[in-house]
Amino acid sequence: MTAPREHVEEISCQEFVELVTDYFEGALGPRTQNRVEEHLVMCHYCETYAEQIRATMRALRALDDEPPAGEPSPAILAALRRRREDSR
Amino acid sequence: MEALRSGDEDAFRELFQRKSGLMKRIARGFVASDAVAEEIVQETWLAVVNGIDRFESRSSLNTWISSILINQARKHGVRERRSTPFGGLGSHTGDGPSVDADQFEKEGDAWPGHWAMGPRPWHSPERRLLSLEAREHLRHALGQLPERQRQVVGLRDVEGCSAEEVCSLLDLSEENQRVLLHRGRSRLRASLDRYLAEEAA
Ligand SMILES: [Zn+2]
Repeated sequence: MTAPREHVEEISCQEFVELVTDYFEGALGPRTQNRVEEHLVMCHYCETYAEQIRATMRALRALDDEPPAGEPSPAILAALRRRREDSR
Repeated sequence: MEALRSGDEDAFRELFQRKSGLMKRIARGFVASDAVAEEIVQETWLAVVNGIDRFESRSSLNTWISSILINQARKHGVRERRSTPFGGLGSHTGDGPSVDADQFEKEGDAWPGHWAMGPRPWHSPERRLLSLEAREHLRHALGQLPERQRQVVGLRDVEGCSAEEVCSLLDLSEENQRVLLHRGRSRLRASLDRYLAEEAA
């Protein structure tokens, strides 16, 4: 009796691609988390997909190197000057 | 902090150089152009210098500056949306599936819901995704995301902020933060997938 039910509870690849972020974030309940992990062990395609999401995250992290934004504006420098004068 | 209060220009320039790049990218999540993002950064620093006496050390200087930045950015974001036709629709698009339904087997096939062909493999992604061109592509794709997704992905994945920080900076529930992160990341993966396929062709 229990076998077909377990089968129904397996997640599909189409479901996996919607759960992958919650899985990475550790936000799944224990039952769903188990099913996702079981699926990943069996499904080479979803393993590839998950790795592509990780590669996307690494590529995004590598964008974090833009040069700083120019110079303080004259208005800021004037405000600093007022502070210096006030604190004298 | 004391240096800011007393108007020490060298100390200020040091802080400005160290923080402005990050601040600009955060601002960029709210508005459509680089120039406006730069303006927001300048306005924020002006507000910081003028308002430093109101800063209480209960919160960290970083958090205080971020909250000013996001306030300024919101004001600009609202103004920009009013002046751009259709701009307001941006935050409501992008609710489709992470992967097109036609990539999966259908009801009646042998394995409904399973990959029909599997995701296209990416060959040596580490090398190819770090090329200048790939980074430009990704930067552009990030800019095309609906506003809230762009903000969350920018803060989480580009800046490396924690989920808690992003929730509090953008005033989001944990669940909404994850949904936005998921949609944004999924779309960027799909965009990189197309880029890598075209580049290889
Ligand atoms: Zn699968």
